[in-house]
Amino acid sequence: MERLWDLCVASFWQILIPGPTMTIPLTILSFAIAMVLAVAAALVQFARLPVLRQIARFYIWVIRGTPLLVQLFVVFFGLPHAGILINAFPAAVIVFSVNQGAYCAETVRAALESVPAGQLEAAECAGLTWGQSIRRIVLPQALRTAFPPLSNSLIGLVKDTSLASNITVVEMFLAAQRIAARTAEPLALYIEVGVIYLIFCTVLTKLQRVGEKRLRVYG
Amino acid sequence: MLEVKNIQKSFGKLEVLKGVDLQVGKGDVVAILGPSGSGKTTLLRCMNFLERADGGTLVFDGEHYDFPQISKKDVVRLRKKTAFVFQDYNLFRNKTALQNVTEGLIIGRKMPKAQAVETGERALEKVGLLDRRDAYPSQLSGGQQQRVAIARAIAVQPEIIYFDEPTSALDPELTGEVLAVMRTLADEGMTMLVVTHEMGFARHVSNKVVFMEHGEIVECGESHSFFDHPKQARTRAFLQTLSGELTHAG
Repeated sequence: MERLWDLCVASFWQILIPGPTMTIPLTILSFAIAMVLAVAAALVQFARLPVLRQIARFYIWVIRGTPLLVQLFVVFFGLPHAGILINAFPAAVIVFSVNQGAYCAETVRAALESVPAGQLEAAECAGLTWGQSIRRIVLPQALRTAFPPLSNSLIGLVKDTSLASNITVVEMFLAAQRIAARTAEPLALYIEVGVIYLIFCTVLTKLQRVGEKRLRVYG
Repeated sequence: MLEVKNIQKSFGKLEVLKGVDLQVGKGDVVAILGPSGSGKTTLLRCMNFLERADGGTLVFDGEHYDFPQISKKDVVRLRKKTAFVFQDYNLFRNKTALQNVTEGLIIGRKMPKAQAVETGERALEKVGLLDRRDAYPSQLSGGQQQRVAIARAIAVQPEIIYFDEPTSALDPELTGEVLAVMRTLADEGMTMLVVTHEMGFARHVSNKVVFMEHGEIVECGESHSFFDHPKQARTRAFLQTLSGELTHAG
């Protein structure tokens, strides 16, 4: 028992270090790009732009309909056969952002549609163009509604980054896996890495609460 | 100043406007009356392009426009000359009272911020809400919200303000404060087109009345002759049913 405890303590930092160096950058970068994709895909649908809207629907359909792991394999192991070679980290960023973008697009679209039509009408009647009305009036209100479900997606993404271990990205899970193989203590190590993910997500949950409080200013 | 000819609008098979003509002169306060579903609100919304009319023409300041063909650019340009007050206020929920008023000035009309704030404060003062300038819409009563909406409308110095049943969503005790503001505007010569159920307002504040039913204008004229000597049997019947309300409001 004591040996296990010592093992956990000794491996803690080894598992944790890929957190700030790999898991966190991977999450933040992917989520930032995902948000851009999500807002764009939501807006072209909200604005009912003829061709772009269909492209957005197609994108969401394909991405939501295929497993994340399959997408990772296609980009990292598949594309090289078509002559497109992408390193593990950028490949993971591409897949995670495109994947999250599709889910978040639906969240943002629903939030945009939840803003009463009168808000857009009033903005346009005040002399704002459509784009200005969206940017200054509709989108800020929509993002407030979307904030809790988007936080959900972010928390989901933190854990999904563990799948990047399958394409050789040395993030926290792969670090734990290697130690588990070396020490033959899978139970302790996998529980330990689980606890570390839990700590990360707890911090995010707290941040979400702070964020929601700040967004509540206008009632 | 403003003339609408033969404006038509259908929603699917339902003909809501069957070729309506309307003239508004500078300084006119025109009340549009009629039972629910008569097309009054649709008329107003078509005039400010919130609904796209199927047919008809608009003359604004001597410039002619075809309703179905008008460009987005012209719509934005025309909207900068007008203001719209909604039944359910539609204040920007993410902006304070003052920001609601200055948004159209700073963003829509590129007015320098300091000047916009000054203009906005003057508009809020006029509706008696300068002390609530930093309140968000959710912190204001319905009557206060509608007064902020009126401040937002007058701040842009429009040539005409469209009012779509501005007091219909308000508790009876709150309609008075909104009507009082509208009466002041009318007295100052603001051109106003008001869809309303307030007979007292139509009779005493507006100088012209338009009575609509089934997407057509039944009768229009000077407000006192409309109320004292209605020409159409349908108008008389309409006024009769409202007579209780009339004596009350008058």
